Amino acid sequence: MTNFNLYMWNQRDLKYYSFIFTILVLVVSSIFLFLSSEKLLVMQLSPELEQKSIVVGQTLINPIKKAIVEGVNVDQLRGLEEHFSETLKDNKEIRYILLNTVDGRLVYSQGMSIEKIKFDILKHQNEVGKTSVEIDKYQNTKLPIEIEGKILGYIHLGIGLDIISSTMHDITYDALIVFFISLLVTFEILFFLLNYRINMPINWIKNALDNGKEGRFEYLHYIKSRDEIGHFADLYTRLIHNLDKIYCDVKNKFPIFEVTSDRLEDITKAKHEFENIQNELHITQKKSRKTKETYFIRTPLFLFVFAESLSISFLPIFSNILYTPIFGLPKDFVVALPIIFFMMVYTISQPFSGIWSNISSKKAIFLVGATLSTIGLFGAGFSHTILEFLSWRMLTALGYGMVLIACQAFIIDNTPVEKRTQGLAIYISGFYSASVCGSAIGAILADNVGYKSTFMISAVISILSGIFVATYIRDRELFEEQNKFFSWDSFKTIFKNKPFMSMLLCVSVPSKMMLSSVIYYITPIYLNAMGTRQSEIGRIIMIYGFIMLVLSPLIAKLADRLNKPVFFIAIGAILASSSIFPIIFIGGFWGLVFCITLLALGHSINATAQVAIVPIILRKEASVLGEAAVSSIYRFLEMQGFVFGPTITGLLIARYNYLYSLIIISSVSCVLTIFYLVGVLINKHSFNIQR
Amino acid sequence: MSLTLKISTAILSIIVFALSLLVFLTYFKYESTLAQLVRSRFLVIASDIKNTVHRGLSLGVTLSELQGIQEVIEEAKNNHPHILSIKVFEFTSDDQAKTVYNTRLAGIGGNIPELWLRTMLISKKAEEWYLKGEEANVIGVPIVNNFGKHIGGIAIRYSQHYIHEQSVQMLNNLLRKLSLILTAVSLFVLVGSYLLFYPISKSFSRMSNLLESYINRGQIPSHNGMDELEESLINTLKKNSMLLKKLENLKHLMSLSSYQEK
Repeated sequence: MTNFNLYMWNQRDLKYYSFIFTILVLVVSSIFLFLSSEKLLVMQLSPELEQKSIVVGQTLINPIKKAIVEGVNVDQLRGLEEHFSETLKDNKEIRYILLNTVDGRLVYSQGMSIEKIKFDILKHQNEVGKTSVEIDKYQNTKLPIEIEGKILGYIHLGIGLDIISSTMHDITYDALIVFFISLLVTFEILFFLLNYRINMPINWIKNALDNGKEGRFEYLHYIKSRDEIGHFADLYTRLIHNLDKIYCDVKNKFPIFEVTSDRLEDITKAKHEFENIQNELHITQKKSRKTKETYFIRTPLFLFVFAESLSISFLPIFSNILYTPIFGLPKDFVVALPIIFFMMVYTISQPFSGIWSNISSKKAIFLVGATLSTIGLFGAGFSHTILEFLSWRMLTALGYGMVLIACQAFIIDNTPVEKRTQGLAIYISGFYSASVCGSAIGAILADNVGYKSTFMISAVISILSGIFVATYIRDRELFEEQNKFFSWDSFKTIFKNKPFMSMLLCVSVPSKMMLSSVIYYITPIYLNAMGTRQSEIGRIIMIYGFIMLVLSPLIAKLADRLNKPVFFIAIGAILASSSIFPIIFIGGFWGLVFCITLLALGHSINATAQVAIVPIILRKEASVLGEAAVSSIYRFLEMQGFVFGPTITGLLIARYNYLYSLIIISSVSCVLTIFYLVGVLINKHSFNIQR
Repeated sequence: MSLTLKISTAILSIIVFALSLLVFLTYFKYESTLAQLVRSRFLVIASDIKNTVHRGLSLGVTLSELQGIQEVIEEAKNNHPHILSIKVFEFTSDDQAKTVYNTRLAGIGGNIPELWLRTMLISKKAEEWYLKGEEANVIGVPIVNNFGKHIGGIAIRYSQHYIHEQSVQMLNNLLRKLSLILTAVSLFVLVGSYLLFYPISKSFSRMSNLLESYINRGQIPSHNGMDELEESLINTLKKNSMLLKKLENLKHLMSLSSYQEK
């Protein structure tokens, strides 16, 4: 290996190649497993299909036998077509039924045309042994009409093998979701592992060696891995230890030498030498290296949000199951209560957690939050009444708010101001990627193991996120930047800013209202009422997170380049509001799918623009209150939409149906967007915002 | 644990996660499809008995006076070993029903469990109702008289054991396939990780050898054919060696001076 630049290779290419390699292995092994599973399914289900055919065939043969015994000839049986036709109607998987004489003459047949396969059926009839064989896309089962040991004819039933392929079809969708999620998980885990186990120690070693060249030696005992890197770090520490030992020896003996030696020239020479060495040699011994790189918070954030998102797709459905009347409130409103109170507690916990994060360790807040959430998730799984469920969801929300604030504060603490947007982008992408994975996987889990077990799995993953933080994340010892949080005066100052208030009331709050109403409440309960499978509900909810995850960063870059945030806010708001049209004009399942897609498109366009514009609109206020404070107040106010959304929706559904409620909410959002746009056009000057 | 092993373990964990989820999905899908097929099979039997009962009723005979029903249900039970019992029952009031025919003769005349009746009443599909139990499942169809009135029903109780047994067999087969695939994948991942991380592994092993040879023998090799980190290490070692020499000289000077003085 000549002039191979290990440092550069490690930084750039390793992540890329490892990712590609893992995906490649994943794709190939998944395909193999999928194909093997299909074969197994055919093998295991075929005997059951045969059993079914035999049972159905027996019910057909018995009256035929009776008629023959009474003297009717096989080809003179009356009403047999009707009998066959009724059987076909009752057993959808059976595609054809036919009666052949022993010599192979077709007497009666019902169902699909057997013209193409009639010779194969005849061949099967003449074969000895097998009751069922696969012919084309059917499993043909033959049953003899036997009277007193003499076979008079055969009944043939064909079960469509598409029952197996449709089973595989269902699994295919879920498998694709699993594969997609595995991609995201691969990215998250490899990202962490390569950074934590390779990039970070190599960077430390590189720094240590660069400093070593200059005589500044550093013990590397904090690199504790038991691999090639760890082995090297041990040896390096031994090297420094040897040098340190001799240096300390000289240093300790030098004062004695100075006092005891009478040879002045030796003392002067030695002193000069010793001073030289002291100037050239610096040995440092750090207790530990802090893991303060912002991307390390992404993995526990991912795990935590993933755990919490597992229940998104079925939360209102689960509430509906637990429903019992409360204080005469309408049922649909009671069903929405766990979502409303979750959002309420989450919103309220934000400022308090923010204040706490200023005076306490982020790690501690994360751990407390994760513990509360874990207890809440366990409790939710064991709830028997809606009130119990409500209480556990509130506890989960408290923890949820704390963890999210701890993560944001960790990023703010560990990134310089000029890199904060990038730092928060790590937070946002981690959040959405976990949300996408969680909602889809949660739906698949709920579909297969049930709601309660899914809550248990959530709780376990939430514990894992806590263990991760406890093991890998270390806090800063000093909090250099104290985030300023709320006071009533700061609210009053901000409320006076008209462009800000119009954006807040006409765009931001309605956006969150639409999000919480459509995604968290109406979609699960509406699709469930339509008989949609739980995993399909999860896939549909996933559309929102997926679009946000993919488009948000791209649009953020574009918005930065074009530098016209108001334009992006307006376009986003128009698109989000137009989500009403698919509901009106298409309706049903696809109407909802297009509605979510438009909503996600709109939000992905205007969400980042809104966050970016706040410090600009509130420039004056930010100079007094601080940028962090105005952003926090904005987030707090915007989140009220999360509370209003399900509250209003619950009340509307209690009075109207899902469709009308959705139309009313979308219309309100649409009207508010128009107000905002009119405001922007009328007051062009005050809305002319550029960075 | 070497770097290759560490990375391989991580990659394998991800693959195990994804493939296990696939196995899990297939298993649950199989279980539900099988349960559905078994249910539909017993529904056919129940419907067949119902047709026999309806034929009798259409002749004006009451349910309890029908002839041959006991034989029909017993034959059905004997032909299908997974059937635990078949009951034909008749409503005695709106919320009570008694067994008229039963494959367990001792059960004739007994009341039908309340849960069955409730399920039957709330069942949206008038043609059938279904109850899932721990040990056994029940599938039922209503009996309607000539005036379209529900006068009773037929319930088949069948063992869950069969579905469970088949599902376990499927799971074992799936796990066998999974373990085979994982064995092959493990080898592939090990080789792939080794090739991917070979440069880092090799470079650190070489640097460790350099360090060891320096610590044990004080040798510093030349710069030829080295990467950036190795070059930094050589320069660090040179600096270290120079400082060590200076310290040794100083130590020597100090000891010499002390000796001469003595």
